[in-house]
Amino acid sequence: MPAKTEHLSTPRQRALKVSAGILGGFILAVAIHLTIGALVEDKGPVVITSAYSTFFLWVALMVLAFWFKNGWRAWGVYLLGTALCAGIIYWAL
Amino acid sequence: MKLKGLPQRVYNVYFHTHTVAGIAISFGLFIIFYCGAFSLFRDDIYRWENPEARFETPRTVDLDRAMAAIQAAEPGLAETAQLTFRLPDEKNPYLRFFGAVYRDDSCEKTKRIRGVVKTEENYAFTNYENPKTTLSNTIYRLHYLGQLPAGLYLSGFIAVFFLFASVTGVMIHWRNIVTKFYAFTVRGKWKQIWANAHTVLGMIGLPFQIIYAVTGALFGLLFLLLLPSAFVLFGGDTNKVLATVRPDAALSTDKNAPFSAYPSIQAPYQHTVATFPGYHITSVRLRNYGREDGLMTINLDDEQTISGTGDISYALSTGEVLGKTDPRHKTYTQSVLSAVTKLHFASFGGLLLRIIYFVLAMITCFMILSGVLLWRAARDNKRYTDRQKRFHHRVTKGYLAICLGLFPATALIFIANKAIPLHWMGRATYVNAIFFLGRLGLFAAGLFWNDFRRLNKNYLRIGGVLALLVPLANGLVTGDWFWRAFARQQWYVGSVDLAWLMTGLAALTLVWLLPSAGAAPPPRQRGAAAPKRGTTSVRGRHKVAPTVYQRCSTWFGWSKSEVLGD
Repeated sequence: MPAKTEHLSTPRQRALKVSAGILGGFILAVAIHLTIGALVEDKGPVVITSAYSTFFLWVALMVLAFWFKNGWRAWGVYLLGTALCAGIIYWAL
Repeated sequence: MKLKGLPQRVYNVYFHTHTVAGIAISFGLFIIFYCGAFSLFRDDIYRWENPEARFETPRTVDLDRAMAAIQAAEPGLAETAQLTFRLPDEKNPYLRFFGAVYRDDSCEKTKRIRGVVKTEENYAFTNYENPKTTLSNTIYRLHYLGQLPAGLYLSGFIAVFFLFASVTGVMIHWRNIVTKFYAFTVRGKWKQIWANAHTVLGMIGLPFQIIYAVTGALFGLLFLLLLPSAFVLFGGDTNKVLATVRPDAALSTDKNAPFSAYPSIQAPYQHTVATFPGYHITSVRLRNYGREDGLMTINLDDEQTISGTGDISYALSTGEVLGKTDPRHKTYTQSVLSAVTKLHFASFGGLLLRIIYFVLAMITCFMILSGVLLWRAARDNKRYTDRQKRFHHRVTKGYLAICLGLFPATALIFIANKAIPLHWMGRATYVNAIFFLGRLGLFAAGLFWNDFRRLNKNYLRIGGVLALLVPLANGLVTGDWFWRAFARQQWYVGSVDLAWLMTGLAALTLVWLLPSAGAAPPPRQRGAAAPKRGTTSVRGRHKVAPTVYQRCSTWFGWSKSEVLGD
């Protein structure tokens, strides 16, 4: 029943995926919420929704990070996404 | 019915993350769910906890009179700090006060004070700096690991990883989730039993667990979310973020506002009572009391609906309403935080809802436990070296000792609460010491019980006996035996005793029903080393024990042929 080890990746790749999921995932989840908050006029509902939806998105991104075969790619996608959000926020505010 | 599962590689990867995340958080998660389940009743047990509070809740309170009593008892009340009253309710008959006093004449440093106003004793104010009893609060603090440094944040992270484990758990079990649900059985190999218990109970409890993972994460880690919003969207002003949710956070007071006469706080209170009939007033908060711009915010709750909370703010000098959240007409923004709170504290459906929550929390505890036992049982084969197996055994044993030892320890703190005389100074410290030392002792004892079945039965036995002592302790010390309490309609006192009595009987019955050996996997052979002194070699007592079914049938006088009809 335990997972078959031949499908699991190297410790280095694992560290990358774990960090991408927890840290990168959190940053991207918050950045996406901030982008929506920056784009709409009425920020109250967005801020209060983010109090729970951030956790769903964060965990989804954590899960997604392990779907990648390459941990570097996971980090790359998350950082690119964050940069994109940052650009939109900069332009909108 | 088979659902489409994950691709091979991804399935194995998620299986592994689920295992690792699950094992890593399980220790904390069990404590959180177990103590949380008890904390659902932390108000209900107040009268049991504190015998001095066993009187009828006053129907009306006079806040002005209470304030005068507090000012007489605590000179130098800090008006600029927030002063809060929590009003008496059905469960707690005291008018509770939280505030601050100035430390010296310069009026710069303040010291927090808290206490109760005893309305039945001429509104006498008693400072609760060293409260006589903290039983439910101790368990409540343990629920969010409050006794550890940064425990609240730690429990918040545990909640996030719990959500992660729930999601990956559903993903890996997806393929067989329907078939397994209908094919639930408690027979077969132990690995199969634990796997069944884990997946089916996890499935039944899933909505409940998702609610708790998210709301728990929110309470622990709200700062992680509010700070970025405050900095990016509101120019660094956290008050503005709060103001979108609570109108009273937008009202400001000036520290240097001129003094005024102490205004009446009873008048706005009565105005609220008249404006919102049918609502319970939970708390009254004052800011700049005794200054010209003094504010008063009153919080109310209907305790029946998920968004039934509201508040109303008054200017103290004029009595003018400055802002309010009408619980009958709330916007989405105003509803979310109170809904989240009510979902977490189960404060929207009365006692029955809390009992259902309690049962679901216990199911979750069992789901967590069975996950760890499954983890070990799945590794009990030739693919692992003896060294690895000993490690798995040690981890599981330590884990069981932490988790199962909580039950006797909980009964112990209830007994300690009655055994330490009420007039002792600092008695709460002794009670807590008994709880934590007892817990440590129970944990240490568990490490010597190498057979898991024996460990489980020992804890059940100790817990069962202690549970039976709880009503005895209360009866002997306070004289309020539960039948007398019920006769006097002190439901909150009697039902705590009765619940412990039934728990104790149930635990001891379980001990009696559980076979002493047989179907359980043998404990890990500790390498080539001889068994330690005090540990029974399982091979030595391999007599055939009656099964649960057999014991039940003798108890009820059935015979197998009668039941099966052959």
